[in-house]
Amino acid sequence: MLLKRFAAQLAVTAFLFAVLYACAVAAIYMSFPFYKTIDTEKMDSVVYDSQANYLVMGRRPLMKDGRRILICGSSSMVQGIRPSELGKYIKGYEIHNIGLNAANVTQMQQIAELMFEAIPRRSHPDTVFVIGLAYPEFRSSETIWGKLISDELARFGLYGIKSGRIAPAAPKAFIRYSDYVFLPVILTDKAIADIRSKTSRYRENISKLGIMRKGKKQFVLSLLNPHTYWAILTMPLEDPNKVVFSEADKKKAIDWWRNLLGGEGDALDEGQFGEFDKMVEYIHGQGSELFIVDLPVPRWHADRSVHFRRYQKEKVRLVKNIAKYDRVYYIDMQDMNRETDFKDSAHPKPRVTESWSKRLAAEMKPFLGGRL
Amino acid sequence: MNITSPQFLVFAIAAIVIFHVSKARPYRAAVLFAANAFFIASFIKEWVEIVPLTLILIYGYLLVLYAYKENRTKVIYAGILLMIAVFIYIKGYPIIRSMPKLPFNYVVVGLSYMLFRMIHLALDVSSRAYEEKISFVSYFNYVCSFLTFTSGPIQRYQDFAEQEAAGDIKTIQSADMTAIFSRIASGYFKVSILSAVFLQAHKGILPKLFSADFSGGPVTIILFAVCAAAYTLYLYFNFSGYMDIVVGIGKIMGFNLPENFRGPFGAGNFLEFWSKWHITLSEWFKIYMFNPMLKVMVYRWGSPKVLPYLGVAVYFATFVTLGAWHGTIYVGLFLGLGVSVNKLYEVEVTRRFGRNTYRKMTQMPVLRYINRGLVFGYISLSITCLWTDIGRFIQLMKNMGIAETAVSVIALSAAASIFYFLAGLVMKLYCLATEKFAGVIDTWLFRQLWLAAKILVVAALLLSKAASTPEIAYKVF
Repeated sequence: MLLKRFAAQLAVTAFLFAVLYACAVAAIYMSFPFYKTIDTEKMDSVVYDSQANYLVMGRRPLMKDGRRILICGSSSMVQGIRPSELGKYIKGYEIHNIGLNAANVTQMQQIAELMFEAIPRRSHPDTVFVIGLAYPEFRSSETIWGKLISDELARFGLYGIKSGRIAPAAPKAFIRYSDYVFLPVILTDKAIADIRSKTSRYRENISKLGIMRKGKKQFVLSLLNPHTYWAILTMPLEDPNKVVFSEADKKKAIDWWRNLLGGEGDALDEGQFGEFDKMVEYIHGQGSELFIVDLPVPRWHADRSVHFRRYQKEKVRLVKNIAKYDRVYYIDMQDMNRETDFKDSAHPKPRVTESWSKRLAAEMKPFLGGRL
Repeated sequence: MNITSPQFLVFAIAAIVIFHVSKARPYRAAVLFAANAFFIASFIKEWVEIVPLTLILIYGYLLVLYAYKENRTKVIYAGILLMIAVFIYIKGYPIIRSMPKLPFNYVVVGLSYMLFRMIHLALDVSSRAYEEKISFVSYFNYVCSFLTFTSGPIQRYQDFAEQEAAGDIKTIQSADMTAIFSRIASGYFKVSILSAVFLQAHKGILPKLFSADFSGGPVTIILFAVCAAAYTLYLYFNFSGYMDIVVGIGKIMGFNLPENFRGPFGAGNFLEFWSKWHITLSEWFKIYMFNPMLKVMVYRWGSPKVLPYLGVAVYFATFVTLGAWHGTIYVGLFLGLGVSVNKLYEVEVTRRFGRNTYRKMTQMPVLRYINRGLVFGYISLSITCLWTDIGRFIQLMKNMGIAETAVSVIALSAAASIFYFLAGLVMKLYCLATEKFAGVIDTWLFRQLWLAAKILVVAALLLSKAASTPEIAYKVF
């Protein structure tokens, strides 16, 4: 008797759970915009909590035939080349920004593999990869601080790594629809990430207001003043176009990179240069066009960085190596390194990004050939 | 096997199904025996790890058998004392830290609760409070039940035996399977989500509390209050969630396990708090320590004038022991002090103004909210030594100063009082709403949908990246 009740309850609960789950998937799908193109800079408006999650679970826009440009790289590429701006100068292509903040070459290779897995095989030759290079992308995987692609791959047991390459660990049909299947969990991740990011911003605002450093009396008065709370909740972010990078900021930034990557002897990871060669070979092997864009860092940064000097030296060999492939091109944009165009040690100010796109489009057009 | 793991859920479902295949008592006893053995085996990697626990278990059974055959109380007490000594050694309590340890790893999970049950059995059989002969299978199923092994509750053997004999006859009529499922889902929500959130908050604040930047001052007062409150709430949701899970599964199997919580934060004083928090442990200490000690003291100094004050002293001793069981005497000292002062206050007010006045005072709404807040504040302070060792605790007190610590606890109490007041208002609104929509809420479909929604939320949160289900806190005590 009790067993029957138990089994009946289990069945009813499982059925209603499935119904509610399907309703939740439908509701999330209808509430969030699912764009026709991928843009990992627009994290606020998508359902994904991190760029890595977006690149693994949000590839549906690529699952159809068409001519497309995929902008790949780390944060300089994410922020520096905006699809909407590049689209003004290059017509006839869907433009996606599939960059990943803090990515190194290993991660870019994984992104490329994921993208080619989603794009129909016959559209690979119509795909143009644009990879932005800067010296931080040649650091070892141990120094990565962002969300790792490999973590996301293993997340739902969809993929594994076999012989250094991403390999499906679940049936392909399931992987194809997994972005729908896991939507409620993806949304939960997003909600938690949003709460954390807001909390961290409020903490920063508290620190900016200096409440903690005030004396006892002032501290208590601050707590009793409603304006304090209003200020914590609504303090606007600094306009990145107005950022002035001081000498102290520059010194701090150079020290930060040196601490992260090591000093003269062990600067940059040898293995990443080899990985880069393999990545070029892989993308070329898919039949796609590939543009390697040498991105600028502010002049002061280039002048003072031991890592930048090492990169410049290694780059000669890399450029020589890619010259042997057809449909693989090198574009040098390092001259766009005016100090006032950068908001920090690596990223361009928003007002500058259009000029970056314009320059990139101008450099790409002759090679895109009769496709335009 | 962690109670909150998916493996446990699968194991529990399998155990329920196999258990209910037949109603034959020997069959069910055998299934329970196998399930309990399997559950305990999940904690070990090599067989040697189970040796100390097995030896204690066998020793306990021999003691119970002896108590059944021979009514020699002194021998039983000596046997129990030896068992406690071995337990203290095996658990590695601070007082025996200097002694050499066993040269291999071994299981200590569940030992505390096994000990409570074995002492209860030996004493009750010895005093003839239970007169039947207990078989080893029944003894094992009682002492090592997978439902109560890791963290209780401490069920009386008499109740266990009665339910074991009755099968599911009683529960079939009364059980509302949906309510049971709902309670289990709530348990998972409490342990895996709420307690995890409060533990993370606590751990997030902890380093700041000891940071030189916040040495003393109003910031430390707030940080200490929030850190202590977060730990108390973590402990509550962790343990009460565990209880929801095991009581729920127990009900499906036909066992009515005793409750450990009855709205503890609604208690108006410390004595009431301990009748609502970890109830089975409090009851155990009341029956096997407080009552006998009081009896001995009354016999020795039995003047009516001193009787209430003897109670105060025995309360203190009992709670110091109870605190020491948690692994640190300092928790016991705080708890003992709180309960004794509370009892002393009750005795004095009653003596001067009479019992009716005292009762009226405790029922005044404003005082009730203040008292609830004070209980929460003091309990949070008392268990500080569970999350920091005594050296760091003293350092913290030095950084903050006695006055600031007091301000911190008062601020926490005041915040808790305000929260209780607001929560009371919300509850009233909730009751009004449920009354108004009773026609919908009480329907079969709504209850089923509510349960499924609850499971959906728990599943989504458990599968999220942020999920970090903590261990059952009371497992280590």
